[in-house]
Amino acid sequence: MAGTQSLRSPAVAPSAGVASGIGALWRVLRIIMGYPTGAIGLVLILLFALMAIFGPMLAPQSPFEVSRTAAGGVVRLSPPSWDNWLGTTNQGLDVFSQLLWGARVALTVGVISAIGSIVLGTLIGLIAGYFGGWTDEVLMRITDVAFGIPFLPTALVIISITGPSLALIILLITLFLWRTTARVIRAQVLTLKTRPFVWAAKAAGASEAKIIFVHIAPNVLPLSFLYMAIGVQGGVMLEAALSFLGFGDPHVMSWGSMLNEAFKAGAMRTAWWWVAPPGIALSLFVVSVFMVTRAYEELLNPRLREI
Amino acid sequence: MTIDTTPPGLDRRTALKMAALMGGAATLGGRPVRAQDTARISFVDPAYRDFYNERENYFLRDAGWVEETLPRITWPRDGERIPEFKVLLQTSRPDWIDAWRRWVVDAEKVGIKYNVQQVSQARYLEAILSHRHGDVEVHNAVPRVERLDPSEWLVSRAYGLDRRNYGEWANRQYDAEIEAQARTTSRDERMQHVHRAQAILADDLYITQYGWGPQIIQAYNSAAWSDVVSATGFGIADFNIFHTYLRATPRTNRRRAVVGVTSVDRSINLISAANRYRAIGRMIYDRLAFLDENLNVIPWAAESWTQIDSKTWDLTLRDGMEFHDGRPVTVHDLKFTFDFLMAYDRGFFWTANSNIENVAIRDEERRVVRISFKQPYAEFETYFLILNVIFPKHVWERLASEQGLKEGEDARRLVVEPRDQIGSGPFRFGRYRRDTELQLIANKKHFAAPKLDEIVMVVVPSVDGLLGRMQSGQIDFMDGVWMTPSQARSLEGQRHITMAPARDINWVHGVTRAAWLPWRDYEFRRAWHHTFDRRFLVDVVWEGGGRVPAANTFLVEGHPWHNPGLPPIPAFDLDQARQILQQAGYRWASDGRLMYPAPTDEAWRQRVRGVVKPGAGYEWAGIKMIDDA
Amino acid sequence: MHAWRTFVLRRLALLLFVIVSILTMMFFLFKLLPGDPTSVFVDSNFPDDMVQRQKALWGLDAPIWVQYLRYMGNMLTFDFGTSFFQMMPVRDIVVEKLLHTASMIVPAVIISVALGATLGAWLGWRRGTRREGAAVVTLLTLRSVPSFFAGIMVLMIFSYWLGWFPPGGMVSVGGAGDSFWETVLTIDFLHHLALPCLVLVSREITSPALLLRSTMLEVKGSDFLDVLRAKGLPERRIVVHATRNALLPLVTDVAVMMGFLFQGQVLLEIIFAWPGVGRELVTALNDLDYPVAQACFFVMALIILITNFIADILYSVIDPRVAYD
Repeated sequence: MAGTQSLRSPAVAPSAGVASGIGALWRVLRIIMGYPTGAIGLVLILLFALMAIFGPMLAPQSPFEVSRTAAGGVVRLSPPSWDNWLGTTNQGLDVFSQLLWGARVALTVGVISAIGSIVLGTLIGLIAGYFGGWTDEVLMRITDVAFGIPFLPTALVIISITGPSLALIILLITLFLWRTTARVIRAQVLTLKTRPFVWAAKAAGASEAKIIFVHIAPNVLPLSFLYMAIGVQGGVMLEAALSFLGFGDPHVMSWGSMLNEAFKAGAMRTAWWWVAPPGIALSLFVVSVFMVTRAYEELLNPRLREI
Repeated sequence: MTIDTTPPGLDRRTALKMAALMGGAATLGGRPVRAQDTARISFVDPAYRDFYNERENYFLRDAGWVEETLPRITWPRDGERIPEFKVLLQTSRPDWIDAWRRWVVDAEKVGIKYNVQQVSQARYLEAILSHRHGDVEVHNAVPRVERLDPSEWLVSRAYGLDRRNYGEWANRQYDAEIEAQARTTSRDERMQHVHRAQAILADDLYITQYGWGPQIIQAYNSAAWSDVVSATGFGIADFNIFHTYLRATPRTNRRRAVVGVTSVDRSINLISAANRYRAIGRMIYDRLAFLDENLNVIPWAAESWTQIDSKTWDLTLRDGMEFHDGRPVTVHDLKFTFDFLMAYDRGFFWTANSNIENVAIRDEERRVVRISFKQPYAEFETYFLILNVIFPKHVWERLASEQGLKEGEDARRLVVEPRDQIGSGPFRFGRYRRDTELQLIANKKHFAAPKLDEIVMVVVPSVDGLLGRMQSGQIDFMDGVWMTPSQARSLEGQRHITMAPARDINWVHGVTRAAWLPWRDYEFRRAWHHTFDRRFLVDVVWEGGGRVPAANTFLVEGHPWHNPGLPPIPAFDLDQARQILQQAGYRWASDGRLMYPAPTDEAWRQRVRGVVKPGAGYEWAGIKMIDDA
Repeated sequence: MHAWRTFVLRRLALLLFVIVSILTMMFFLFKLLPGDPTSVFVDSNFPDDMVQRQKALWGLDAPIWVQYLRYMGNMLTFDFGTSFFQMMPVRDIVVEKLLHTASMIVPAVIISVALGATLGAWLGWRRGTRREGAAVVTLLTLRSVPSFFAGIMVLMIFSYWLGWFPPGGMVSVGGAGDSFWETVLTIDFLHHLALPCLVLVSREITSPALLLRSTMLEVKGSDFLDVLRAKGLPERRIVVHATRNALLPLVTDVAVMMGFLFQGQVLLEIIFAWPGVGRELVTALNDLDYPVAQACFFVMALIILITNFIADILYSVIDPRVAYD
């Protein structure tokens, strides 16, 4: 959501011929590392990924475990200390532990919804772009409707119907993110369709499925990757926004719900150690994805590189 | 044979298609209830069957309710596990989920599993009103003046024939006490019934109290105001008991009190108002009687009242009262108010006034009105007089005719513009900006005239915003807002702020689904009580601002109707819980989950059939087990 | 010209189609909401006929397709009915809230675009310098801070610690005027507007700045400027010329930005206690005030659709070749 504005209508140069998805990804990563901002971004993302995978194991406490003093009292609203590196909340929960666990929640939501939306968006884009005609018309009108749906209000309404859960939030974000991908991929397919290698495949009697998935799909994959990165970032932000509004899953502690708890507890004025870490983590994650996607975008858009 | 619940004018096929389209939404009136299913549900006392069959789309006429109830009144197979318990919590009450997270972990240690869901208030209300909330109904007391009558919670939460008795508990002895207390008009006699009802409730372990609190801690700007009044259960700043706003004396030249609130109610028609304006409206319209800060009934617009018999009272109106437009308050206005509220659909006032038989002017000169009721009415003082107000006849008659309100229609749809907000109360309605501010101007001619000149309510939706404005001196009071101990501490050291603690009489409770398995077994309920670490709610979640409850009663210590001789709540002790369960015949599966006793366990079957505490002399009148034999 | 007219008509038809689709979706969505909005009003001990009368009053007793047609007719004519709670026409409520929201967003967008465009033009001109690099990174970082976190930080620093600005709300106590304009045209209002505006501008400035920067790069690389240079125009005049060309795409960007902000500002409205349309939606959902919730939702969706439509049309005017596909 946030990223799409600066990335509106990127002009894309397709790699000629067929390339495997994994190979393309590897090449892309190598080139991104060539840009200083891209490299920093990638390293940061890697750190966040490690945090999501191993953080909960390293966390001194579970996100809902109360810190107690030797005498059994609750360590309430303690500033950072040796026992609680980032201090505690009003209920004596360890902020550092919550931060580590929160990374897992954030990235789970981000990655799953990004993958879901990319698969959905790419498929719709491929099918609409390749077949054209009525198929295209129907799919693109659905996309138009999707573009008219405001995310936050819709999510608020649906969550107040069903009750909040992580699965639902992932689903909602997926259903919100696919639309941009679908449009961009379709536009890309429209130009690819007229390329000689597609004609050649057709002439050789390849099936339509084969043409779509073997000949065209690999060429749109780099673009899909770009939107996937943007999707992860969008997913993380949307989950945080919903949780901040109190519409998050109550059984897990995400960065957004940490901020919501602090806001509800009226601790904003005093407990900076509770407010700052999740906010900074969120911002840093978004910045790092931005750095990577911009490097990647310049890569996809050779004209930008020239200037 | 099926009972058709589709709306008229819509054939079944279309209805089904639409239901499929909408994912089977309940808006079509739900699926039809199968008669063979409802036939399997029987009651000890047939009166209960009628009661549960009365309402369209509810209970026996709600396929969902029937579907959920049947397996829980069917004898379990050998080795069957106790099902997962569904508990719905409100999103707007974060303390509930914070405590439940811990309780779920503890219960797992004795093999009890929960499915705790957090839902919006809307969804929660819908679920509990239709008894579709699952196993435990969690609730808290929201203090309101008209809820201080002892029967308020005793009736709504536990009386067998009240739809808000969410566990469908039907204890004959309890119900008899409740019926008796509603009929007696002697306070002493009523006290006895109320005490006995509390004793039965506490003894039968039907509801459980999780915590008494949260504690009321309020702050005010003591550099600008003195003589605040702290009321039991409400604190110093609450429009429900507005003595502070009457007696507070300015220390500075500023005679305007700025009161921070989290929201201002959206309807300013007193008849349709929600909680907050029901209170504010009674600062504008005088109620007949009021409560002092210790919750004793005191005369207000009614100077005195005398009981003629158990159904009849004479009410004397205070002399010399005036409406805000200068017209005198007369007995005609009082009579009009009751006639009006009886003639129209009257929402909130319905519960109090549906019992009125007749209102007659007895002595115009001495301002006496005689009110007679259809039945003996115990709540006359503690509920009826406190809820009811005086509407000016000349204004409301005009509103009704201008807006074409016909008899029998809903008076809640009347639009009462600020200029028509005319009462006789201590405050006049001033400037009103929806969602932003509301000004109340002191009525200096009132018999309890405020010392301040005006109150301006400002809406600050977040606690942080309120605390920040309190700290900077922009607001003097925070109405209806109770701080947590840590929030109070964040204001410490501000010289202009004084903390004002008050006695609280609030609670959070859980109602078990007594009519269902496994709750039907008293021993199970007893063991279950032992799984709650109530101290966790009080010490950690409420930050120490509350009390660990001493007994299972709504009328907590400090409430005028509290029974001090109640048995204590089974304390948090997982070993004890396990032991009780084992002795009662329960077993554990290999994965640690709790299983029902063996079907051959006659002692258990006996307890399940009886539901109420064995050997205590109680009788069960509600839903029966389905006996296959 | 003919092609353009067909294009506009097609877009218009599409707009209508999308609006009807979203309205239909909304109808069923709101039907799924906890079935019985009367439950809040109706004491469960009320007799059945009283409940039925209540439902009839709100039209909930009619068959569902009648409710649907009635609803469609009402929505398309902006007749949102009467609020369950506020006992006043929903349209009045929504219009008022919409104005409040606009009073936060419109100034923010104007400032963002003015500042952003200037900054972007400068950045494009200075492409490759160290300062330009630092500025771009700063912009992107600002853009990455979630708006609610930025809101909290700004409040914490400028309101609670420094005490320079009020901690939320639109006006001070007693500051609300009798009309919208009376309220808004005050210094007091500007004082309250400053912080939310700061948060919005810090985020929204990025898009116009980067847009202008890249357009500037394109313009700079084109022959057109060489011609100007050959003519001997001073550097500053050339920048002005280049900027003028780059401004066109900016207009479409503004339209999209507006639409986006109208649905996303709910977080800021809650943090800054701003009585806008987003906060109204959240409150209405909690209160089960369906007519209000529906209307808020609808106007938010409508604003997105209309701004996107305007952007499309503008774009076709600027660059006919691209838009007509």
